[in-house]
Amino acid sequence: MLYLMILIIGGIASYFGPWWIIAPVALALCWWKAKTPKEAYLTASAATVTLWIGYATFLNATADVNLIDKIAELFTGGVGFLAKVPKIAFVFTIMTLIATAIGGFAGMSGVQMRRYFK
Amino acid sequence: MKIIKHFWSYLVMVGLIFLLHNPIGPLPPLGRLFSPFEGFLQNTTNKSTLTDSELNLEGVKDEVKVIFDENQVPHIFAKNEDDLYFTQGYVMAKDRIWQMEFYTLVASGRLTEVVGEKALEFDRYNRRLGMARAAAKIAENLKTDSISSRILTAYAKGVNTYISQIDYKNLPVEYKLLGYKPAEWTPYKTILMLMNMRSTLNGGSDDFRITNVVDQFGFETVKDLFPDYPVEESPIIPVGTKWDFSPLPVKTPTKIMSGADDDKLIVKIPSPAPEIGSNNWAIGGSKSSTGLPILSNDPHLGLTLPSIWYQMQLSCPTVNVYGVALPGCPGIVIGFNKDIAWGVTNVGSDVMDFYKIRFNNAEKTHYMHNDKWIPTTKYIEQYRLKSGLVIKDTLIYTHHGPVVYNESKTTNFNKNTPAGHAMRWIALETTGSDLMIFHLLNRAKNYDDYREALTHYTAPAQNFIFASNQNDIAITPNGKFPLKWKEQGKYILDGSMPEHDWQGWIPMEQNPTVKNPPRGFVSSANQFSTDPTYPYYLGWKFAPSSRGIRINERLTAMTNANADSLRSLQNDNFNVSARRILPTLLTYLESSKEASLAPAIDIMKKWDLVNGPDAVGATIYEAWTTELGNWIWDDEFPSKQFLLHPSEDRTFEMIKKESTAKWFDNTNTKDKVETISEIINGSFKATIDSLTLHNGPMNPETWAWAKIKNTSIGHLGKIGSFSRTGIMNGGGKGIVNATTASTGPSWRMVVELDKEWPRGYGLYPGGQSGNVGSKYYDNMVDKWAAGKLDTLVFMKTVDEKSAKLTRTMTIKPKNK
Repeated sequence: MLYLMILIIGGIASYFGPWWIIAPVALALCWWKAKTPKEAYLTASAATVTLWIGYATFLNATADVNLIDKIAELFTGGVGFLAKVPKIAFVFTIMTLIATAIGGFAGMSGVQMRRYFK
Repeated sequence: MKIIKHFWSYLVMVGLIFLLHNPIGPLPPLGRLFSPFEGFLQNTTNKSTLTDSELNLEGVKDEVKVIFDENQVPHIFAKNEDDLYFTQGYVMAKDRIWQMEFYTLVASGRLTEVVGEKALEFDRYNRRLGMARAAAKIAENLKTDSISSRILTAYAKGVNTYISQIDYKNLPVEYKLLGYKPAEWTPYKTILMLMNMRSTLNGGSDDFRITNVVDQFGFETVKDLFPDYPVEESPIIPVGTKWDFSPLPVKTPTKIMSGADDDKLIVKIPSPAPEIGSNNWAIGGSKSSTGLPILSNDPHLGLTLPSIWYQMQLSCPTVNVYGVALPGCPGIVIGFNKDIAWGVTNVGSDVMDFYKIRFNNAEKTHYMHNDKWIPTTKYIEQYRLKSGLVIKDTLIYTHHGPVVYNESKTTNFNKNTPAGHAMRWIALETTGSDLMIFHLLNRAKNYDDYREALTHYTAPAQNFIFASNQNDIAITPNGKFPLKWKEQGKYILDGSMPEHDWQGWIPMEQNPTVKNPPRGFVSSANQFSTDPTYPYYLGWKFAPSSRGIRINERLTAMTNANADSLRSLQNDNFNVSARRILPTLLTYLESSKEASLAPAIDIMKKWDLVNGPDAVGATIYEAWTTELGNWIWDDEFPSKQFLLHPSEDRTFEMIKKESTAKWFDNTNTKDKVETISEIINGSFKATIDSLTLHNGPMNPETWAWAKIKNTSIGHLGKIGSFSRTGIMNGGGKGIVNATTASTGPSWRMVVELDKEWPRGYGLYPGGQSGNVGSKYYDNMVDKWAAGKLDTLVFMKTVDEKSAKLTRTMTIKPKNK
């Protein structure tokens, strides 16, 4: 339930707001619904990752040009070890790392702060 | 402790968001960039982005319709001129804002602000050229020119309206990567963009390199090896054209260059780039199948993505014109309307001269001129780095222009006073408005209108070609030309002698021109404007004559031509230089005893002299002639020590007629005197060895000309994955199809004039969109490489129907 709420409310907020808006959304919802910091971290990060990767997959699938490949190449320089990683995997890994950290710590802090005030 | 226990995760989150929201070192803001909701994925496009739309904008007075065709070329239909240029600015910014701003940062030497310290030297060079200061002055002067200032203001308003609408999500991806935002557009920035063109086309000089040759070898050698007119030439104004004016007198002083130097002059002023040239021609009705003129133009520039050109049609009750515009500039630069067509190629006359300056002291407060100490003007230049750091630099101006090169060493002028070199450069002329020529050409109806338009142009001087449906064709090397004595500015001038100042200007009406010549066509390919009978001095060196010779040969033979005949000439790959020299070179190779070279020699013998994409002969020829030039000249005239090599024309003449010239000897071998045969054979072997080393043994596939040439269209900001490489096509420098590794025809256009309605064909190596996420970023490249042209949609009225029109953007005035 919490997962779905973060996904839906976070999705709507992200569509209109700045990229980090998912953090306050996850924080607030976990404050309200999550039981333990661990649960909050896992649920919020899973929801954020789902949201980011899901939307990215949609944008990439409907795009005329594969921009993911071009951006990946810009970062890996097209040489060395990183160049051997499939480009989409490289980009999605970065997205996942960012989404896990932002969403996870936001959710976790919701529960921890609630405990402080109660 | 309790606070830490409960708030640490919150602090981690806030810290992470902060870090990912801002650039760290060279890294862009990663969170923002990779978020699918705001980042680069928002720059992807698909069909849904290209549908009809309606906008309400404050800047327009009346309804404007912008109809896009299948190449996403906008056809703007406005009800008045202000709305027309407002909309031109708006749609151009929508497609190209990053590129527009980038050019202005280059010209004003402000790249460090967005890319950081690595651009400092480049910025410093551009600031020393003084372009920003001249642009500011021009923009100020233009305020008194009611037409130009009205157009510039309307255009800037359109650009700014678009800028005010973009949020981070819609920013071009380059802004996201570099972490900055577009700033307000002003008429000054449009002038900066034009400065960029002046610098690209007129911003090179060999004055230092040839002065070094004089210092070392004397005037006699220079006269022999660096003549003022080539042996083989086919000038733009046909030989025999009468000059019906009485020229102004010009006095030549006895001393024609500044005193010799102790050391070689070493400066980082680039040589004029011969590959940055262009072709244009027009055939009269006597040669065309329609009985009316056909005009062709292909300006050769550095190939970039986004492209330097932007196609559009501009229409309102006072004008209806189609063609290409420069991003950042209102109006159409090369194009056609119902009655006329016009185009440009670079003239390349000598309009950048250097003066040796003698200062009175180390602070350089005064300099000597006409036996008096004249005060210098100093400006403090500030470079803001991306990091916020500010670096300062002092720029010194004399009446000649800016001192672009400060040398610390003492010189012959006076052992105790520092010297420097000031630059007199046409690009810094602040009179007149180059925009007016395009304004008038866009509206021109006949030859007289063309001639009137020409008087409104300063620089970079262009060969303006013209054709009308009244069956007139004409060409005019046009711009402001300094009135010079013969060879003035070939060498470094003496900044203290008033006789060395520019003497005035060639009166505009005395610029070389020809109308309806008996040969039935006019043409230019950056070669000499005229033969030596023209009473004024324009320069001693122009682009090699080979393209011009080939174009004129083919046009002379052409009859009953149509647009496709001219298109085929644009793609002509015949190598005129090879025709001139290869038979002679091959006779020397006959004596070769190297068995390993036999297959390569055989290829050269069988080569049809065409630089086609598959030609191995072209690969060897191009590499070999470069190598041969170095073998002959680089011992006496080392280019690393800033000495100029004689031209290809002079070199070929020496190979053919002066086979015992002392220059063939390699002076680096002390106890041996090399013969011409040894140099030709040796350089051939070195060429084959080098090609083998880099590409493996000779093989028709790996040594194919297109493979070796590897034409690439690089991204303007040098992002590799935003570039196109390995384009398979023929051509080369000195070939009519002047496609080299990184330069080439940046727009190809052919227009068939007609009494009713003209037919235009054209295309450029790029796409209308500056967005790398759009398929219209580079959609014309393959067709361009194949040498094809698109049929251009030149609409008569806003209601015209065509299967090629895809969507309409309607702009309505916003009700306040």
